[in-house]
Amino acid sequence: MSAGSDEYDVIAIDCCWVADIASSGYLEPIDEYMMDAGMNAADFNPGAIQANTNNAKLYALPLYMDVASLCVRKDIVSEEDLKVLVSGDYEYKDLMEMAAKYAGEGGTKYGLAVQANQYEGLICNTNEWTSNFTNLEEGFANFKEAITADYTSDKQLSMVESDGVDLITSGQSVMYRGWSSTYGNFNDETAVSPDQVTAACLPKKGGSTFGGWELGININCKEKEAAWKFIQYATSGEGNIVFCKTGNGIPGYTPHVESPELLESHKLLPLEGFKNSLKIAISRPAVAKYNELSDSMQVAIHSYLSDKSSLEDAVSEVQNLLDEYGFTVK
Amino acid sequence: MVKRMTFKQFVFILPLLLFICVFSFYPIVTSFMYSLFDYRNNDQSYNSFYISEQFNGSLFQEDCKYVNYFLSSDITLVEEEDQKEIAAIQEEISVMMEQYAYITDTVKISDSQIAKLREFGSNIRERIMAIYNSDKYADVVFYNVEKMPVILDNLDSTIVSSNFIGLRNYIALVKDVRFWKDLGHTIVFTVISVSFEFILGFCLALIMNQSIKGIGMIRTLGLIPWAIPTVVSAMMWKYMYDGDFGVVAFIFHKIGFINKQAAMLMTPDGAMASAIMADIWKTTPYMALLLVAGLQVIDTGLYEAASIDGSGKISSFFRITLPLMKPSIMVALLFRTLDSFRVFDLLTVLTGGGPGNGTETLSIYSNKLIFSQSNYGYGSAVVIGMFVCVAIIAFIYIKVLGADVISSKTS
Repeated sequence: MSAGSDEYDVIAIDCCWVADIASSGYLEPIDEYMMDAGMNAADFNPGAIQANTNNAKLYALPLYMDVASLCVRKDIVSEEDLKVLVSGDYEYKDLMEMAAKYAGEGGTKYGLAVQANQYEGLICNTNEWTSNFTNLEEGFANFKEAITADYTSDKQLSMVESDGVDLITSGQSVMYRGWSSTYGNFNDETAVSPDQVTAACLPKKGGSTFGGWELGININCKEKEAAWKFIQYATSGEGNIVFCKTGNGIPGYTPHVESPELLESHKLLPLEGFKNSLKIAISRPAVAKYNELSDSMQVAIHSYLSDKSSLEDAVSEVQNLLDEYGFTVK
Repeated sequence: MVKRMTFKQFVFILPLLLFICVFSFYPIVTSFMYSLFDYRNNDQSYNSFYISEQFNGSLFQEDCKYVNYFLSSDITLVEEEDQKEIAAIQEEISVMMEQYAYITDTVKISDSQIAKLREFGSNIRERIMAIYNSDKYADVVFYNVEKMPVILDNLDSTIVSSNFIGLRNYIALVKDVRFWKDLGHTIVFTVISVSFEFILGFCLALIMNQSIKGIGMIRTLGLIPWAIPTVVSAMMWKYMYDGDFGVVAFIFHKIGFINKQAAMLMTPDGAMASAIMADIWKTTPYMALLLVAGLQVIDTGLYEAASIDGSGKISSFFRITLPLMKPSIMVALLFRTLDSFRVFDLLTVLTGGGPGNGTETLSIYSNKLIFSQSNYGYGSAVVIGMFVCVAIIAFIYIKVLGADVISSKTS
C-alpha cells in the first residue's frame, strides 16, 4: 500500500490497526458512500465505529466482531451468583470475591484466569478493569491484587490466551476472561465438557474489549464503487449473515445480532451473558500511533504488576501516554 | 614493505569493491540518512523525505470535501443569514478544490501558493467556528460541532513541513532511558555469556582435540546444540523453564536456587539468567569449534620437549597452549562478542524482551521501533547507535587487545 499499489480493492484490518493505516493515507473514507446508500453509522456496534474513525472520518465497517466475556463453570458457581455474573450488574471487587469463594471447588485450583503477559492482551484486560482507561488507579490496583492472589495462577504475569484456555478446559480454573473462540475449545476430549460452561458478562461499568476485523477500501483502488458494494454486502447484507453463521462470528451490524437465522445456529449469540457483553463493547484507544502507545503502556503496566514500579508511577505514566497520543473517551 | 597496487590488480578487485559498496556501504549510508529525518511510515506528514515544505494534494481534496459535507448537515440548523454565509464558504472551498485538483500527491509548490493556502485555511476556520460557537446557537446541538475542529486540524496538516531534523534523533537517543537500559542488558548478556562460553568452549575444545577412540562421535554429539536452529532451542528452553511444568525450573526450585518455580521467566533477573544459560548451551560448541582449529596448529613436539624439561600438564597449558592460541582466542572472542551483542531470535522467542522489558536488547528495541511502530527515523538512529557500539568493540579487540584477524606476516 505504501507503494501505491491498486492490486487490492478491499482490505481486512484488525480493529486496532485501522486508525494507524488510515492516518498513513492508505484508506478511502466511507462517509460519503454511507450517506449515498442511506446507511447510518449508528446501526453498527459503537465500539467498532469508534475504532474505525480517525480524524473525524470513518474508514471501515466491521466484518465481524469478537468480544471478551467471562467463561464460567456453571456447574460450580451457584445459580444466584451465576445470574449476577450473566447480567454484568456487579463490580470487579465482587468478581474477585467470587473467585476467592469458588477457588478449589469441584476439583479446580484457581477461581479466575486472565491474561497479564506483557503483550497486546494486557491492554485488552486492563482496558476492562479501568473502564476504558478512565479509572486508572482503582483498575490497576484491583488487577494487580487479583493476579497476585491465591485464587489465580502464579504464572499470571506470563499468561496469554492459550494458557488460560488450558486452565479452564482442563478444569483448573472456575472462571476465565477470554474471547469467543474460547468456547470452541471444549469438546469430548477436554476434561470439562461444553455443557459445563456458559458465557457471563464482565462488569458492565468496565466494558468488554472488542476485537474483530474491519473492511476498508484501498485508496488507490480502481473500482471503488464495486469495493463499496462488497463491503456493504459483507458487513450489513446477506453476506454478513453467511459469514457469521459459518465462522461463529458476531455481526457488527446491530440488527443482525437478533437475526433468527443466526440465533438458531450460533452457539454464543443466544446466550444472555454474551449478548450483554456485546452491548458493553469498548475499543482500545483508537489513535494513529496505536502500536507505539500500546507498547509503552504495556511496559508501564507490566512494570507495576511485576513490582518494578509503584502504582502512582504507573498511573501517571499511563495517563501521560494517553494524553500524549491524543486519546479521548468518546 | 607493502607494494603499491598496479592498475591491473585494481581491476581484479573492482567487482569485489562494487559488491562491498552495494551490500555494505549503501545500507549503512541509507540507514544514516533515514536517521536524519523524522521518517515514520504511518503518518502522511512524515512518510517520506521532505526537505522543503510540501502540499498534500489528495488529503486536501478529501478534507475539503468533508468540511463541505459537515457544513451541509448543519446548514439546516442555522438562521438564514448564516445559511448564506455557510453557502459562501462552501463555494469558496469548492473553488479551491478545483484549483488544486491536479495535485494528487504530496508535492512541492511555490511559497506564494503555500501562503495563500494557509490564509485560506485560517480564514474558513475563523468563519466556520464563529458560527458554531455563536451565542445565537447556544441551545442548538449541531451534528458536527465536535468533528469540525478535528477536520480543520487535519486540513491544516495538508501543508507538510520539512521532516529533516538533522541530529535531533541522536540527541533524543542520548536522552532515551530505554536505549541505555537496553544497552545495559545487551552488555550484561554479552559479557556473561561470552565469558562462560569461552571457558566451557575451551574445555570442550581440549577434549575434541584428543585423538582417542570415539572422538568422532564425541565431536558430533558436542555439536548438536549448535546445529539446532536457535528458535527451536529457545522454544525448548522455554518449556523447560516454565513455571508450571518446566523440568529445569522444577529442579532448580527443589535444589533451592530459586524460591518460586515461576521465577525463571517471570522475574527480570531470572529471565536474563535463563536466556544466558540457553545461549551458553547453544553456543559453546561453536566456540569449541573455533578454538579447536587453533589447537590443531600447535606443534605436538613442543609438548614433548616441555615434558622432557619437567613441565607438568598445567604448566604446559599456561606456557605453551595459551600463548600460541592467542590469535585464535582473540578471533573467536571477537566473533562471539559481536554475535552476542546482536542477539535477537533467542530473546524474542524466550522472553519477548520481557518481563517488564527486563531482557530487551538493542536489536529487539530497534526491531520494535521500525517494524511495529513504523518509526524508521528513530529506529535507524538506534541501529546506527548499535553500529557505533559494534565498531567500538571491534576497535578494542583489534587495536587494544591485539586480535590479529588477518595476519600480515608471511609464514
